[in-house]
Amino acid sequence: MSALFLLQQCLIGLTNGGLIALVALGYTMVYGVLRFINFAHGDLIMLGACAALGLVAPLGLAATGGPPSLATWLGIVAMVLLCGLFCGGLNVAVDRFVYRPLREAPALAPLVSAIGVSFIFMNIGLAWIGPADRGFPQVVPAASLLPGNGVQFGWKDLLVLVVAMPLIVGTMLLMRTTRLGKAVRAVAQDRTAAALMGIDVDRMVATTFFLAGFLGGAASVIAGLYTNTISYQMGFQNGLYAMTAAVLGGLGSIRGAVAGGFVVGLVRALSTAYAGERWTGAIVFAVLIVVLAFRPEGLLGHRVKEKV
Amino acid sequence: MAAAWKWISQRWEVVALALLAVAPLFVPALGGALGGQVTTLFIYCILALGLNVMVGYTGLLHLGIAAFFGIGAYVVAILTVPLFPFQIGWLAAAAVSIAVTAGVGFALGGPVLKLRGDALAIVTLAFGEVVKVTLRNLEQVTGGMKGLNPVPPPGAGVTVAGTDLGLAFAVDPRWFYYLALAALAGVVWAMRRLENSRLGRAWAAVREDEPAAAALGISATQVKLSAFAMSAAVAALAGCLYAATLSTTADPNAYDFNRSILVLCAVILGGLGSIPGTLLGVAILVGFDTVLIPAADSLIQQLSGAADRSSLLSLASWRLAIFGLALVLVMRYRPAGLIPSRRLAAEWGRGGR
Amino acid sequence: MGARRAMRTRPVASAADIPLLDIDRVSMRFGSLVAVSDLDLDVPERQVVSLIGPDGAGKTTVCNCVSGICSPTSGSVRFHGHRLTQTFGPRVFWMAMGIGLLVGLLTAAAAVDVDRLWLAVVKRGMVLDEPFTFDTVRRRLRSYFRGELAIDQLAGKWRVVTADGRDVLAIRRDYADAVSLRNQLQAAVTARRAGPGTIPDASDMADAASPSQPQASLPDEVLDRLAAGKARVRIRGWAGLVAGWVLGAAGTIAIWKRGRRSPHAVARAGIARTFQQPRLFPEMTVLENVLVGLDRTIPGGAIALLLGTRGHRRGEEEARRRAQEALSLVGLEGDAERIAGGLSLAGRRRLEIARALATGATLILLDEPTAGLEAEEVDAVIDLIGQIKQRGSAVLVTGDSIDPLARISDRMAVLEQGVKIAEGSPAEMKRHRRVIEITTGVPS
Repeated sequence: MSALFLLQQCLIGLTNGGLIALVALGYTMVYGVLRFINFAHGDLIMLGACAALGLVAPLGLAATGGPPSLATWLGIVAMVLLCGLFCGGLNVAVDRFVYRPLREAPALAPLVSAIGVSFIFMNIGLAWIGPADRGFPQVVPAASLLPGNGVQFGWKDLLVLVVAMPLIVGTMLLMRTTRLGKAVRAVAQDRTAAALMGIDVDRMVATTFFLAGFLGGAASVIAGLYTNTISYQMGFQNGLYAMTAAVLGGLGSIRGAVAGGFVVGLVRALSTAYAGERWTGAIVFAVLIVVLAFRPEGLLGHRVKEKV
Repeated sequence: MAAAWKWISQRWEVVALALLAVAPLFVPALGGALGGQVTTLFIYCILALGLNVMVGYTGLLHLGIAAFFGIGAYVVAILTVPLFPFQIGWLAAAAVSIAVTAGVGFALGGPVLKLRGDALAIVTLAFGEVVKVTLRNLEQVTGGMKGLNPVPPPGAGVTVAGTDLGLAFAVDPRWFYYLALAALAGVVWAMRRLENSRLGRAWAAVREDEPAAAALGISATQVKLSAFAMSAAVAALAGCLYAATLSTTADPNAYDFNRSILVLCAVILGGLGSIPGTLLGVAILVGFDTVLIPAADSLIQQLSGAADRSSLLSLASWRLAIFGLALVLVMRYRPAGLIPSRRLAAEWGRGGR
Repeated sequence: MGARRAMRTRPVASAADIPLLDIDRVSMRFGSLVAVSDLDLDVPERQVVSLIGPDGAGKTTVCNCVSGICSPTSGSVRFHGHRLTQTFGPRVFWMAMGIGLLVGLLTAAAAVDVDRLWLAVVKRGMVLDEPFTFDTVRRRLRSYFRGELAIDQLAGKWRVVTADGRDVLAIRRDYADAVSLRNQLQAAVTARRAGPGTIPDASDMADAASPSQPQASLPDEVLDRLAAGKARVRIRGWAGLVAGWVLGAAGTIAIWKRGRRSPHAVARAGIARTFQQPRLFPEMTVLENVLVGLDRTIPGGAIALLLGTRGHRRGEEEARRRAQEALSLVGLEGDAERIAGGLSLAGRRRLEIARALATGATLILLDEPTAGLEAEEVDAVIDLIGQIKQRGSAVLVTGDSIDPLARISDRMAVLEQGVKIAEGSPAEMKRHRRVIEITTGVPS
């Protein structure tokens, strides 16, 4: 258990974390504006992965062993964009037809509907790719970029960081600096007040759903290329870790979701390495409980005082 | 006539209990496979009533009820199977199991009670997953994927009038039917009692307006913890019955998210916080799964001809979607469920808070 | 009745010089906004004190600070001379220690591997056909934590295994063979563990004395590993125990700390309040609403009420009687079975007051009880306040004008933008120039 081994695990944690953070952002953004956890997000990503699998051949991608060519990179970018648009569009449609009629309903209603939507998605995925695990072509090889046998950092890991990091940073900047981000944040703070200020609330909510879906679509491409298997049940596991990350970081907080994603990724990698993969879930959960016992609002969330 | 109807509708539990109690005398099928299915239905009803304490009465969304169900089943199994040296009777084991599971509920509740509703839902969901995986991993304790068996029937070793009760259970499934029915009746009675007691009022008060309840000296922490523990205890009772009926704990996947969600859907569909609603919801969902889908599929097969065996053309392959669609539609058009409770009908009917 | 109850729970501190409620230099800031600054206000027993000020003067914030919904940024609120914060006492300490110990035992079990512990302590007894008693369990536990070797059975053959069942060292057909082999190996491991030249402990001496040929020996590295096994399992166990204990105790204290000045503790001490916008439990009946306020007077928890114990039944009946009494005081006795959400605003206010009264509080905070009411309804509320005072409770009431409240107030204080600008008898306030300006909005 040398320092090199630890470093290796941290690198794995970083790549894992990037993927988890990307998904967690989708949860936390929707939570921010509508105060409910979009349970179907994990399964949306599963559908995105199905779409990505369908796009492999049309985009001229194929399994290779060598370093990816420029055409491969371009193909991957196109795949990220297309899957992003697909998931974003799907998310907006679901918002329009399922969640929007429930804006004034009690808090439980949208959440339960989201569980329903997640079932529908799962069934679509089942019909799309069948009940068995499907292999996803190894478009990007796992071969290490670094010389020697000490620390492995493969093309795949690079891919995750190259796709996830710009999106994560971009989302954070978008929400913090642009007018769109400000409008979305205004809606998140107080929907009625934002509406009175002339912000089109429904459009902002739809925008949020689109952004969340887009990030989810990108995540689905990475998930496919990185793990090389997809199944109609992958949404639940992916979603569970990402939801944990969102809660850990503080629901509704963009920075919190990113931080939570990396913490969960790191904990996952370290516990897989040191305690065995079968205990990973339990250890991540234990970390979550410990953090929540001390900070119920999450790592970077802020305390919300009830209005009286 | 009207008076008689009123009498019946007010005491529907008693009427239903009486009907179900005499049913095996007139429906011999209840002594066979059908009896087993109905027993399972009763067990699900108990589980749903347990969940109803949290979701319906206290308003805390709980997505991991199957974990408590599983813990209940496994503790009973550990204490009774011949593999381990404990081998105490089923009844004593069930008591221990209920107490242990209530303790687990308490322990989970403590650190997470301050969370807002959705975060709590995620934590309970994750808890359910962790319990399932832990049950799978602890191979020496829980038998891993094989589960623990055989769980001896309740009453094994107890001899009444020359017959071993355990043998009676093993021979005639109607014993299980009556055991589950008695447990269900007991739980319904207890829930009725709780609903209209100080605890029931405190649960409702915390659900409806937590700050106002606190201003009256109600400790939301204690109230929610009691809901956690009560819910876990009832779920554990269901788990004990489940293990006894199957005479095995089955594998840990039997206690996964899908089961939690099935029960949650039953509670929501039937009517949150309403006992008849919950029971009806379970009956509909389980009936849908075990009766309606196979029946509809055989019908479709007949219509489309045996040659066409496309799996897309059977309801079974769209089961999840039908489920999901039902949830979405119920939330949209009848958010308080089919038989809403008096309290929640008003709350949800108003729209918003 | 209310006062009697409260006195039983909290003896009144030495009489007159300590006011019932003592708001001492309380400031409350929300970020840069100062809602209340340096407020001093006393509410003596059995008196009505009103706090007057225009909207946004900080009246509700004062109520929130007193009732524990917010903690003042600075200053203190004392009730009967005590701060309403739960103090860190031995009860909390022992609770934290106990929970910490429980968590510690759990983490320790997880750290030494529950599965193998179970195998060594519970299951192996079944193999050897040993009874499951306290003694055998203790012996096997000790053996596990010493990293000793054990006998196991698989498919009719006897195996010499490590205590945790991880390594199988030898397989024998005959039980006696396996036992003697186990004893030899154990002696070797113990010797290796103790280092050369030391005497193995008594049990190993006895084992070593049994006459048997040396049948097997283990390679050095295996011996080393087995010898180290004891240290490993002990270090893991202790580390798990300590880590769990610390985390559990700290977590318990963190959770306790968050609730130490919570509104329910304040309410239990004897301060009840109403809200500016009445906060009822709209889906309960009127009677049930009041019964929630009487919750603590009903003895017995879940078990007692399921069994229907006598104490609980009596408590429930008594509570219903008192709830009816409170309802008739506010004039809602005819509406007991109505759903609370259906009441008019005046009815909701009255119900809220009845609910607060039912808790038996010695101090009742009424946050703008007259806002939005018709003139005669206002009069009724004022009369009600007078009745509350007669029943022995003190009242702190807020409002936005002097007039209706002057009739029953013993003292009045006026707030403007969080600062108290005047305090005195109603008559004084009616003459106070600035007060008139503020409350009427007309500069004089």
